[in-house]
Amino acid sequence: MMRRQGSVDVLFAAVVLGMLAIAGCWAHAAAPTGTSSRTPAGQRIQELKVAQIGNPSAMDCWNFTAVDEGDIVRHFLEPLFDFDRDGAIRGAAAESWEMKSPTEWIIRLRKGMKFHDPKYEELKAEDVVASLDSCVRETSRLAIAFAKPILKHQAEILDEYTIRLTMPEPGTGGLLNNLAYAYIYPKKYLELGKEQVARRPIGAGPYKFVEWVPNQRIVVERFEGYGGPEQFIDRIVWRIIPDAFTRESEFLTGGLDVIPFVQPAWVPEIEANPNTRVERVVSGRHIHIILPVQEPPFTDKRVRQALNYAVNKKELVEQLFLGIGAVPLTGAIHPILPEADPERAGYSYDPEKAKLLLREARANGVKVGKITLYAPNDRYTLDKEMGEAVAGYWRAIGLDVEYINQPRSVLFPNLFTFKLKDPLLIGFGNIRLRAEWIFEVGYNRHYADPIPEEWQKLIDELSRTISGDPRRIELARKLDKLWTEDAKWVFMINYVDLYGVNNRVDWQPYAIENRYFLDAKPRKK
Amino acid sequence: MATLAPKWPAFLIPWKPGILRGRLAGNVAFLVSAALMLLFTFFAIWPQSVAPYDPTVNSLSLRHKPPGFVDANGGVHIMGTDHMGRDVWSRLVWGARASMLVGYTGLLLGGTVGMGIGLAAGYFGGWFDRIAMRVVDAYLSFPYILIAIVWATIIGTDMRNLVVIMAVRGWVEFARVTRGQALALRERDYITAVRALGASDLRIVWRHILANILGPILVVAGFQLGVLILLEASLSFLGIGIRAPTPAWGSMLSDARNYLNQAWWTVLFPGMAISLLVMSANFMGDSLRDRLDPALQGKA
Amino acid sequence: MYQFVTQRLLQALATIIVVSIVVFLFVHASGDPAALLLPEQATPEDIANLRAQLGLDRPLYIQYLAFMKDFWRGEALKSFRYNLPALPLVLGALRWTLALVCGAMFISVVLAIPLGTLAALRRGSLVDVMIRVVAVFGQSMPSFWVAMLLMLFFAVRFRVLPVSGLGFKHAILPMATLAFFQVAVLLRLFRSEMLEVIHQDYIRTARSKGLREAIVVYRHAFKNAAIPVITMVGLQFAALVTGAVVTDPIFAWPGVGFLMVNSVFLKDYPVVVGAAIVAAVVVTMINLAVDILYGILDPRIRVS
Repeated sequence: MMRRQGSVDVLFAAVVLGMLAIAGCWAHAAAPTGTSSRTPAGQRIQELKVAQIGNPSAMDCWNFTAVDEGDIVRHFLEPLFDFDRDGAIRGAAAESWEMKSPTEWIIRLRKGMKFHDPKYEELKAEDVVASLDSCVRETSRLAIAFAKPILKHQAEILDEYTIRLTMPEPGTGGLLNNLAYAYIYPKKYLELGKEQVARRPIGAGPYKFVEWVPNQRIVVERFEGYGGPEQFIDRIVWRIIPDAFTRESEFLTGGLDVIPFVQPAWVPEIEANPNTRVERVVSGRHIHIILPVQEPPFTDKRVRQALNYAVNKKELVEQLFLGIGAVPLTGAIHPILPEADPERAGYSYDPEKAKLLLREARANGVKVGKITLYAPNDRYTLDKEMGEAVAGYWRAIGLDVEYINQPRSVLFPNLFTFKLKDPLLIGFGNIRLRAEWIFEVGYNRHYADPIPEEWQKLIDELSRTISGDPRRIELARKLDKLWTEDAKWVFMINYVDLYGVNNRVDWQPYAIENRYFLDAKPRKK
Repeated sequence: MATLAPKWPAFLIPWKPGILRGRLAGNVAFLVSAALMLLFTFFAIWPQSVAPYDPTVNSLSLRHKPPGFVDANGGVHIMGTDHMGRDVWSRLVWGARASMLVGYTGLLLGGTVGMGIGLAAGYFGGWFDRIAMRVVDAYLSFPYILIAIVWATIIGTDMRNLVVIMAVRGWVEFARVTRGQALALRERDYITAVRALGASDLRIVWRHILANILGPILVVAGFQLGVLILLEASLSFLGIGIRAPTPAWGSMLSDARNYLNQAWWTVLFPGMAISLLVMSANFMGDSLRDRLDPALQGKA
Repeated sequence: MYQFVTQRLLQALATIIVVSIVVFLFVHASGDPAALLLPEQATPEDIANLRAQLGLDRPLYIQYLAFMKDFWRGEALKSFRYNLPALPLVLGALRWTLALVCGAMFISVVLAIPLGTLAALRRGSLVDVMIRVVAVFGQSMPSFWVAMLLMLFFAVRFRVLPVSGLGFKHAILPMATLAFFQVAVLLRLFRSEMLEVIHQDYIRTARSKGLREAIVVYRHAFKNAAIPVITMVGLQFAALVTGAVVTDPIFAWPGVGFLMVNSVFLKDYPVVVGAAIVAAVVVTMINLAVDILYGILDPRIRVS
């Protein structure tokens, strides 16, 4: 018995020590985060910490799948064009451009844009051609961000800093907008192979890529040799934090400098805190409910209009979004675009009219039975609650409504493969800043079909004109009116994006949800 | 003959005076948890009697009022209101129904299936037993919640499917315990005797084995109820449990998590409800297990 | 002994294969990932293209075999979402999970043993009841609720700890959250084991021999009560590795749970199946070690 106890003793001690040793193993695994620092006024911000909700999918353009990456990638990869805060196109790597015909464009590059690695020297035409060939092709996952004719482009080098782009079909008025997502890599670097480029992207942007640890962070550092405007941040760290409460807590305790998607309910607290403030911008994303126009009873315009009149948008904005997180949506074209008519009124809240329209429809033989409304519950701010509210409004005009909210991973595939047969609440962010894009997009077209020839003509005309062309305004407003009156959708709200920004940083957000910090500065006290 | 008769469930035995001596605290705990369980079950069956407000009607002007708030009509919201202006206490009471329905039904279903499998495995043995045990092992090797998430995305999350998801989680422990008991009892002398007397397998299983198993099964049921309630809460928290606007404690927590800084009561109370329910279930299981302690039975 | 170990190893391997097949089938039955990987503007053609690219149009068994072959080679099998090799992703996450779980189990053991002993020695008293109530409560609280409340108190209201991140201070809240549940389980087990042991004859003998209470407790009762607890620690460790699925995202702790849940929602099959397999391997290894340990410590098992 003594011997057994002795051996048990030893084993015991070994187990305890073993556990201690393992407990020490976290010390090895733990890595320090960047240190936060107080910035002396007037100088640079040493480290900007930004919250990111999900992981980017890749650092190489042929594997981006969503334009969530645009946020981050723009900092180290220079595109040909980008947008200023008013949504106007300006050149980034490109200096000037000319549309010779609807199928031919000339682009002249800015001189002095150096790549991060001195081996690749300066950004020249050959780099642009090679990059366009890698990124802006059918085979790249980014292809969906580009209009089809652009994917079939042919690029010609005219001289060291000039290229000619030829497209097989017209309809590329939005070329520049599209090319805001065409990022330039060095040609010789691309030749080293896709794996290499994916692992360590090199571009000509204002920051150098440092690291991407999936599910943790992405880090970039200022590039001294940048050929564009001066940068005032030394290092940017995007921390991946999926939980909203955690983001808010980190922000309030100083662990983050910028957070996107602030809930309206948090605003009083953030503004009361002396170190933080809320920045607002009317968003490029709006919310609407797609009505499957081929399915009864949505085939009847009166029914569709009734569904619109039933929704009290003002109350939604005031109560759900506390008056600050959204504005009512009065048409199909995003209000941030010049093509949207600021005078348009959209559908007012008129439940009596809605009931009248329904009665009329029913009197004409349209059967309006149970309606099932779908909404995602994890994709947009207050998406689930908006759906609930709408279901309530529709019930108030006497309809039998079932409301189902599900994660986007369950809902959206049905939408994209056209299996959906019921109304769905969805958002659309116009990152291209092209008014006609929302009417061209696959699922929107499919569920709105058939559309009259006149409308298609308008869409085609719009796609041939460059942004800024005054003709667009008239065309677009006409299309908008027709689309709205026909009530292909139930128009809901347009977001007012709310960002939490630490007071040591001077930065305003962009409408298109791309969070570029290229002109962020330390705030003067 | 007396020795061949099945024993009564052991947990009823200690209701004799004397045995309670020194176990008072344990009994109090048992009684309290039983009372809580009954209370929650009452909420589930008849919520209208206790809940002053409709749990699904939104009243956006009343959002996020703190506990004790008195509204324009003089009604008191003792636990405050949530982000859609609904009374938290009413939602809590109605939420008991969803949680308990899913929990109890899942438990019943899983328990029945589990016991069936366990009995077959333990009593008949052979290849069925070996396969069953492999499956049980595999179950313990990966997180069920993962399967639950995947499955919820496939079959959807209405009540019926959730019950199935719960049952598929719950059967394992029942199977294991039943099998163990069946194995142990199979070799007992009196079973051999009864079999020698010509009793069929079915009769043996039914009269003798099952009756003796009741005690441990109830213990397992107590703990498993807790497990299933927590599983439902987790699934609802992830957005794939009981669908809005049906009140359910897990989804209440999920909705409230964004507003923890502003409205702590929307997080505190549903969580406490879940904890109390699970705790009662666990305590009952615990107490049952104590009562089955052979030292109390006087007879081996 | 050899026979025992070999047999268990084979069983473990069989279990892992079963797990991999089941998870693989389940995850493929849950729908098409291609539609999800593309943004809202994708056309059905784009989706079909992506499916072909990812090899999703091959028959299932071929996909499975290809997966099993490529996953272990590190570079070969890529995550659908990140286009990075799946195995390093999973292993990286595992490292973080193990760090957290080690810490949590350590805290749990350090707290559970003295409390359990105290409760056992003072059975029936107020102290015992209080400890038991707290333990049961700890076992009943939903972990994500505990996580949120802890974060609210210690990180936001009273700023003693950081909200999230990676590092010792940052790990305290997540470890405490996990430990809440574990302390309860271990404590109750330890207490009941101690109770059982204390009433044994040999304890009475030791006491009647006049030995000091402390020695009686430590040398005889304690160590024998600890055996099942050690095995329970092993089992709980294994359960935690796969189970901390809901608390990880709250703390932004990049563990296996976080990775798995994200990947399931994104339908990132290679990562989901890969993570499940790796987790199953870890769990079965731990179970095996626990079984062997139990065999060594408790000679009754070896003899049977």
